[in-house]
Amino acid sequence: MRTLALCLVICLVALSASAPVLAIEVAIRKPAFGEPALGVVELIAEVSSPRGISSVEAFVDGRSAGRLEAPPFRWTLEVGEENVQHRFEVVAEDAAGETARDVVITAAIRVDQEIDVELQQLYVTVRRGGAAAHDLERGDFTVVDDGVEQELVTFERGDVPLVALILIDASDSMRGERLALALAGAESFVEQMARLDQAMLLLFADAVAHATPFTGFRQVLTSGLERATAGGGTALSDHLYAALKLLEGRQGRPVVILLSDGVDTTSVLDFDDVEWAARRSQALVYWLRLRLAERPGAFSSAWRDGAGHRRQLARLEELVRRSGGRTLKLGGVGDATPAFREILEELRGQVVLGYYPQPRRNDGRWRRVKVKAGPGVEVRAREGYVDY
Amino acid sequence: MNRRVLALLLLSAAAAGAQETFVDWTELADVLVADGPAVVRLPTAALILNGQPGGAIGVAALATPLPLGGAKLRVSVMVQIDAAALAAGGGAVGGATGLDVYVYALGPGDMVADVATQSLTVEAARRDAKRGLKVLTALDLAPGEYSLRVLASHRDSGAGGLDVQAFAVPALDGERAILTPWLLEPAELWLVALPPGGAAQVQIRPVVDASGLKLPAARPALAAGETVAACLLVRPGPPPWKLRAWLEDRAGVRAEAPLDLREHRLAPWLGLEMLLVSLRVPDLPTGAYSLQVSLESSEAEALVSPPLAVDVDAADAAPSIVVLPGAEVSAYVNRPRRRVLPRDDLSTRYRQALQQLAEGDAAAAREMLIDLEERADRSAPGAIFKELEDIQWRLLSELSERSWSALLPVTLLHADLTAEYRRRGAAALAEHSTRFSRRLAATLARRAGTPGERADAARALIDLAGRLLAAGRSGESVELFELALELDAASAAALGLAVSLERLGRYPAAVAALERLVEIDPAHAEGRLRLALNLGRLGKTGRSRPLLESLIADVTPQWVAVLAFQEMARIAMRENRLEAAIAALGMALERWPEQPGLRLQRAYLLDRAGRAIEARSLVARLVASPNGAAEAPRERYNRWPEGAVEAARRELAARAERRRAELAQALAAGGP
Repeated sequence: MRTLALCLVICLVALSASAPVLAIEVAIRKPAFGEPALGVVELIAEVSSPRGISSVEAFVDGRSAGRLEAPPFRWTLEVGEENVQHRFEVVAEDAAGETARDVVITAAIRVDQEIDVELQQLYVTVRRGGAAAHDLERGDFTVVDDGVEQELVTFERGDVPLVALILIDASDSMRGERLALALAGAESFVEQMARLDQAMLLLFADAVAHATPFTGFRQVLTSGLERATAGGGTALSDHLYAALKLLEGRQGRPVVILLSDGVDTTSVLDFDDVEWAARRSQALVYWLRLRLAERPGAFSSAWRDGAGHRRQLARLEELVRRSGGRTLKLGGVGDATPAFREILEELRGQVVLGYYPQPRRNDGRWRRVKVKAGPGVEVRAREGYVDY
Repeated sequence: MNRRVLALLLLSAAAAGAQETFVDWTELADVLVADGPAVVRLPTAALILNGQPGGAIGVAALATPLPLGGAKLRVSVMVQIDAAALAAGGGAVGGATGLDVYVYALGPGDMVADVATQSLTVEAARRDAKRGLKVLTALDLAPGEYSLRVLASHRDSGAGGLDVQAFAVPALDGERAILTPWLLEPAELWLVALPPGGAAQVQIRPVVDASGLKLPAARPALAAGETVAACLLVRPGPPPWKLRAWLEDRAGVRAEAPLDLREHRLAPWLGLEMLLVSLRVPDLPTGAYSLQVSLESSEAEALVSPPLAVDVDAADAAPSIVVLPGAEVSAYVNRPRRRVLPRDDLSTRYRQALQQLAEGDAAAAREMLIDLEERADRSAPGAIFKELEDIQWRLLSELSERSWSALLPVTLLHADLTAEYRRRGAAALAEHSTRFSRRLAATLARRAGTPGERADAARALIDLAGRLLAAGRSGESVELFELALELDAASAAALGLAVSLERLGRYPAAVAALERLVEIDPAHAEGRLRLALNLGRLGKTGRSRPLLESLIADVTPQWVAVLAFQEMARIAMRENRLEAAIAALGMALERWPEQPGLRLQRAYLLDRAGRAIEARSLVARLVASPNGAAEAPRERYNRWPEGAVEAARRELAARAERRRAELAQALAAGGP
């Protein structure tokens, strides 16, 4: 009898264990807990209930961000550029009126990754024997600022998040397949960005032809590109200035990647103006330099004669070099994809050095900076900054 | 002019024209990279050292020594193998052909001076889609005489082909030099194989000319009477110098190949320059010849290039493959050719074309003229084209003696052909049309007597100058616009002249032309704007400012007013009056709030004024509302004044139409 009772209890326990779950369930899949959320963010939730879903509502920092009645439960949200934590909440209700919720709190980026107004940061590319040198430590670097050796207070490797502005020439010279190949290159860059990296894609001719917000969300960066077309003049200086300006004050390591033949035909800003902005920017500028299109008059405009165009090309190369970036000459626009990858790889291999410049003058003068890293190491970093 | 000055001039001319001489191999659509070096086996080496030219696989090689600055020269060797021969040799495994290529240079006493080998795998689909394979490799050789031996062999079947040629590596250390001529063929016809180490070591690269990317042909097969494109690598020495080309048969008999210099550019190898020429193949019987080019100077002894082996086929139908003893090599050009044009036909056919024009069938006239000129271009001997030009000119001179007006429709006819020839890729014919219509327009100008005739001649010149300006040939358009302006004080000519001068950076001359324009038409808004901007470029803001103010105050096209505001702001900024500049743009933005150029310029000025956050916000708003569709005012300014030129062209066409009867009378008066 005792045996029979025991069997009955075991059977009841087993039955209760295999009974279907009757509760409604919600889980936020994206963003992840503790991950920083800036700019455009995608919120994804999974919701299940045996009785069917009636509605699912998303909240950001207590404000409703929209209600959906059927899957997929995804929202694309703009949470602003402020480096603060956010509270994402999803509340679901099923056909029986049962509710469930899930909450994710995202974090602000660590303060030591921000650009401090006092802290001077240098993004340094180091190579030895033609390959990235990954084995260098803080002690291997010497920074001389305005003739004075500085004490390094921060040392980071290339995982400091990037904030990249990809600036693509969509003028007349990029018609047809050339633009498509350039965009494929940019997409390959976006696809390989790390979790906290952000980018903005800006296509320009004589005006902005297409622009995305700054985001790490790839679909936002690539959506609508299939409709992009090339045409018109090239206002390169104008849009390079705009790119530097848009990166100003953003969290992360600022980078401009320009893809163009470099011939400016319509800018209202002079190159002096762009140089002025570049000297005040922390951004590394990379130029994927396309060969000039083979067309008559490609090198002539009413705004600048041939000699003027050539001078400007040389000055652009110089601006790129001074920023700590580099010019990659492309044989053809088909080389854009490997070139974008090469840049990303280079950025990943960089070290970030931080120091408090001594003495501090705040006099608006240019301070020349020199970085050394021992014998046999090739170092590339921006050449200086305006002290203000 | 010394050599240094000439080099600088050439350098600046090359850069100004934005003409790239060579491009990377990566520009080609179909390039494969060799798997690695081929293993040299004893039987292979023996075959190379002792073997006779020929074999199952047709193979030809072109060697080009290039100076690198050291004691040795880098000899780029292009080994060419025809697709059919490659397939016929067997050895295809799983749809791919394994091929080994060996290049040996034997010096005195048959000692091996250098060797290069490559092992390739060519997929059948890629192989068959092309005319054949061009394998690039290189040897490093000191100046001297060599025997160049090239063997290609199928890895699996062992079938092979050998090419043996005497080859001299020049020292290339003198002031003058000329290398083996390259006859060019379209790159897309060939599959190119680069060595495993990459393109850098082979040094030579595809050539860019008006019709695309070209590669040299290792063993060209030419059609008698056709015109071919060639590239000469030279150090020409101090000018003046001239070029002469000829084909020589095996008995040493020479036939001149008339040669025209098309372009002169710098080459990327120490001190070498590149001459792009067109060469007319003389009317020769089918056979093997060698092509040589001489560089002749009154100051020094003539330099003769090393020979290039070519085959001439005089048959009427163009073959695609020329069969050579023991080997097959690809043809140089595979395009339909026409029969040789009898000289007697030239005059009759040209007259018939003009007759069609006189009868009102301009389309038929145009087709007949194109047919005639194309035939003449391809006919042998080369002088026939010059003869056609002379015949055309003689007839037109006669017609113009009878009636000045008869030339008007003919000028338009020839001018229209330029664009058509460009569309067809016939650069030489397009150039002929341009040259010929310029000559006609100049004649019209010279002989114009009445004010009406002078106005018509000016229109013809404006039409032609506008076409040249649109083609980026501002230097030539200046001359024609100036001539037009002398004939008739038309605003279109003055505006065209100013735009041409602006593009050339000749701002003081542009100001003079614009002053003339404003004198002719004081209300010309575009002319006043251009005058203000060019005065600004010369620092004459005192004169520029009132002009800009008047443009802002008057009712002017929007693009003119926007640019006037922008220039006002630029002047204020240069004078360190940032707030005045910002205010000027603020006023402009009130009228055109969506103008991106105005918003961007204002953002920059705010930034300069220390209002960085306002500047950033303005830039952010600018990118949030893309405005790529509308033409920007600065792009409009950049455009050549096509409206004005088109008006002149329309008027010219209408007047030419009315002159058809006079053309018919003039033709009839001359007899059949």
